[in-house]
Amino acid sequence: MGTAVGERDHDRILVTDLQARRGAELHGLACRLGLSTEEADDAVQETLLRAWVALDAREPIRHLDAWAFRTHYRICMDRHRWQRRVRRLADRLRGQDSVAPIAGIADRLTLWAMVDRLPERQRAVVYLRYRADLSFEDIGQTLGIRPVSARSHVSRALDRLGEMLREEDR
Amino acid sequence: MTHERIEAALRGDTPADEGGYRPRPLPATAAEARVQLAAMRRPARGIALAGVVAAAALVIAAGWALGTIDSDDGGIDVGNGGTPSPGPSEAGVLPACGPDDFLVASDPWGGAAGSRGTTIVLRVVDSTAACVKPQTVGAEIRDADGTVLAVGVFQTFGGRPAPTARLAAGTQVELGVAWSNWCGAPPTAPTLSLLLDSVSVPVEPSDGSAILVPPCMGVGQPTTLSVTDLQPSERPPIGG
Repeated sequence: MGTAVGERDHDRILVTDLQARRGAELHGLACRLGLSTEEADDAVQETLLRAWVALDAREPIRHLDAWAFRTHYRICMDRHRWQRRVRRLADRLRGQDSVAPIAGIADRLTLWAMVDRLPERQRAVVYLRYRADLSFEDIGQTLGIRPVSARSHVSRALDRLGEMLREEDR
Repeated sequence: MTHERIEAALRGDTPADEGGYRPRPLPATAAEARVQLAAMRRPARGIALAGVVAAAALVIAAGWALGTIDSDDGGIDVGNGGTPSPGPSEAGVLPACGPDDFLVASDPWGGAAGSRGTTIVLRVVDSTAACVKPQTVGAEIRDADGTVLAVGVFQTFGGRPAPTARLAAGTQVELGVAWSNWCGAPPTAPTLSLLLDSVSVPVEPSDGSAILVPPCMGVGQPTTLSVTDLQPSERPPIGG
């Protein structure tokens, strides 16, 4: 023995660690973006595999968690857009209007259920901020928007959540 | 309700669907990760070529079963990384591997990006005819007083029982351990133990070096100890 932890071993450890620390949050973000539980698991797995491949290729990853959330968001949106297209076309073929349901979102009176009724961008920003605990700079990089815009989305989302809570109280 | 109170509630509450995450096994190597990634993306490309309309028609023809597009096999289950799996009868007669069945060695601790870790290598001793891989593999770190600082157990994926596998004499396997986010006072002489099922086996770095304590990455966030599944080891035999 006596050899240091190899770089390749270390990549595996980093990805395993990422799965343990962030797997549930990546899954939760995918659900916020409208994927089913099974689809969210697929998306998380794809993110982890991409992370490993990127680490192995020695891509410059400064902050693995932020990188993972950014990649995961793109994967989820790709899948979400694809599903939406299929759903619309299927509705058209059946002669019905699309109702654009948000799959997997429970109709429960919890704050997170209210978050799920926010517009898509606000849902993502709120989740990344308060569950993934990302900075506004990292959120901006994840969503491809400026940090100040991320902050603004959060503020508007909190305003709207406050209104929803007041409506619930009435 | 003020923003501050809503923010506090959002931080304190966990969306129910987070608990629905079912971690899947990760491959043993980056090369396998590439293969799995390609396999995950291949069906999507095929569907794209067939066209959205055709897919939608298929969906309708299948009874509006959208959920079947992504099958349960989307993630390829590598799990044991090539360790042979026995039939039920064989696994039934072999004893579970215990601490006495293994020689154990550990690399010096290393790490980056907020984690510190090591690789532990286990070889089934020659005196053991064969045994069955433990159902759970874990690790724990204690300080000099015996206080447990962090525990990690390899999770059985998807709610399924851990795959069983026969380990013959001379078989060598390894697992990775990564410790992250230690925000407490520097622990005194931390030690690492391997947990085979519920039996604890002390593991010291083979060169006598110390366990490295990870940096604090998030105050208020728990420290984590991640453990990989046992994977076949390609290293030269230990202990011989």
